[in-house]
Amino acid sequence: MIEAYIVHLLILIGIYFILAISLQLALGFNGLSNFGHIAFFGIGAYTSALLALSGWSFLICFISAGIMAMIFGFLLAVPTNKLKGDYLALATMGFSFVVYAILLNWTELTRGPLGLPGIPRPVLLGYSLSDNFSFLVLTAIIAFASYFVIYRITKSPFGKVIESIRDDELASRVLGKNSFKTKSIILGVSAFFAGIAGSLYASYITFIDPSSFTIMQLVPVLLIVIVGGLASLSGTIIATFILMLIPEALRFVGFPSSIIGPMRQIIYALILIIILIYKPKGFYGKVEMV
Amino acid sequence: MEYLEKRKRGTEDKKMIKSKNKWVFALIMILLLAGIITYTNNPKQQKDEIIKIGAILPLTGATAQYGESLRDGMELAKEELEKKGLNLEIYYEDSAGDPKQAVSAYQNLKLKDTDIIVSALSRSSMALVPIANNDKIPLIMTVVSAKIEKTPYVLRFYPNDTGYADAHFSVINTTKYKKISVLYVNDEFGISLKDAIKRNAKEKGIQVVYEEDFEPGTKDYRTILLKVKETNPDAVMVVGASPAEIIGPLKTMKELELNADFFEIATALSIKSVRSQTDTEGAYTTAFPFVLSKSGNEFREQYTQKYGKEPFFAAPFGYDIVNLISQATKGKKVSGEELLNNIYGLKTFNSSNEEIQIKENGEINPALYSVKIVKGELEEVRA
Repeated sequence: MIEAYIVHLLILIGIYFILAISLQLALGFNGLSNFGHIAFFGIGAYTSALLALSGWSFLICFISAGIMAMIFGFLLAVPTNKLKGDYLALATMGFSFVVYAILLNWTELTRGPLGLPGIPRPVLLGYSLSDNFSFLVLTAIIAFASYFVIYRITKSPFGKVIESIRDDELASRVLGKNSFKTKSIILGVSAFFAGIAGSLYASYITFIDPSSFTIMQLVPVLLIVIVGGLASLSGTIIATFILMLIPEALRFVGFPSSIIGPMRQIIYALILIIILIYKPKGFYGKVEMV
Repeated sequence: MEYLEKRKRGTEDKKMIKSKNKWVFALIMILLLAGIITYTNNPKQQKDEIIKIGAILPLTGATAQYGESLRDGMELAKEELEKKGLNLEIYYEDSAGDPKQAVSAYQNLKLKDTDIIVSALSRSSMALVPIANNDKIPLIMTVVSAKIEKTPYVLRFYPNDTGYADAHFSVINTTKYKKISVLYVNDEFGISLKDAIKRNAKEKGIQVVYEEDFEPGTKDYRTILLKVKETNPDAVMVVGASPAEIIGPLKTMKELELNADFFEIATALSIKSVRSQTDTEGAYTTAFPFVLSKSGNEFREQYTQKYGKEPFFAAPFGYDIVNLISQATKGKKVSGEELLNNIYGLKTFNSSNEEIQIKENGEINPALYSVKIVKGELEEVRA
């Protein structure tokens, strides 16, 4: 029994890890306060779910989810190119509201608030991943591949350019670096990984609706990035485990039924406050939060 | 010298950071260990002979009111059964109405070897249907839309969408009401009830002259109701998921002097504390039998005595579900299949909302009645 529970938690950790490192790439490494990240997750989930429900193979659904989210990432980069800090955060937040409104109101396609139930589990090369363990293997492979790609990007000369734009965009441009192109690529790549995380989420939970992709759902992902430390991939790994496991650990604490829900939330919030008091830059943060 | 001092300071800083890291990790490890120890030492784990119910309810968030009243109802039933010598265990988990959290809660409840799962709200229940069926663990859903596709191990204990609309349309005066407008909350509950209203109106030859949705939590209904006023309807039917979504349109209708009868579909105005928030005189609502004292008087009295407040509409569902499980198992542990067969074997169930038929398709639908508010009290509407 405990194995099934652990497998389930590891799957969620894997999915949220992909989502968090993709946000880390944009926010931590490139300094883009992208509050529309959850919309890419939603676009990926809906693309994958709609294709899967139409009978397309998982591989097509999965790749399409990433590509569709990436296209929206590039599109978002165009109007937000000259925005920074709070202004960029507000603009990208607006984008997530627009995507939510579309998912909610384009009922012919998305079924609106009724959501999409019965999303099939992946079938890869004739092998069905209907049991959670095989799904965990798939998630682990994709999470590792995502980490590897993002790690390589950040360690490459291009990675230094994106960090230089975060630290001083004007200086980078004076040195001949095309900041618009760089930021567009980063938003696109970041959106791609959020999209594939969305595809995994839809295939695993088997039900999605617009409420799963609101700005409130971005909060835990943002927390992982901040607690892990900006521009730190290893910090993101640790933070994903810790922040996903604390609420689960609290399930084992026997509170009276009358206070069970709020009490867990209070303790979770207190732990986060304590972590951030002692580690204001997160576990392995390299840059200050602006 | 300066270099050496800097280096010394750097080493001290690093030591301090390491020490802080240790504290944070120690805190998390203590919490995890405490959890595991609590779990392994839990004496409830040894109660292998009694039936264990896992309740996945929204105990936090915007829909917490439903979860809390369901839990209160379940606890009341448990207490009563214990007095009769029937023991059962209920484990509560918070879903916050979110599918992901509901699945995590379900996996956690499996660790506690629960025999049956009770879930509330459509969003979280929809994610549980396939896994419960796969694990062959019976799942009873309540406060959920009828649009959820059920599987063999899933039952739904709640009025169906037609039941809500039927309550009014079975007694509606078709000569008085020729044109109606429909306002509904834009969620799965609102949409399914709006569809049921339109279907019923068509059958009765009543014209739906205007329909519009509003987002959950909307505060300002002025714009929508101004458009409604232009269509000059005989009645305005409102489907809201929370009391505020009923009180808001009703208040605004009076402010705009929109002279049409107000019909509320989802029982909110049948609750006294909700009715007292504004002038509801002459408005129509739906009510469960226990509210109308047609049944469940004992439940209402005991609930009020225990919690010091009148039961919210969801409370009797929690109470009845626990009693239903208890009747089907006699408090003893049985397999999922046997439990399901026993529930179906009951055929009918004497609930706090009258006697209900347990249908072969897994539907257990309590009746609803159309009522009018006269001098602050509920008066049943008859055809």
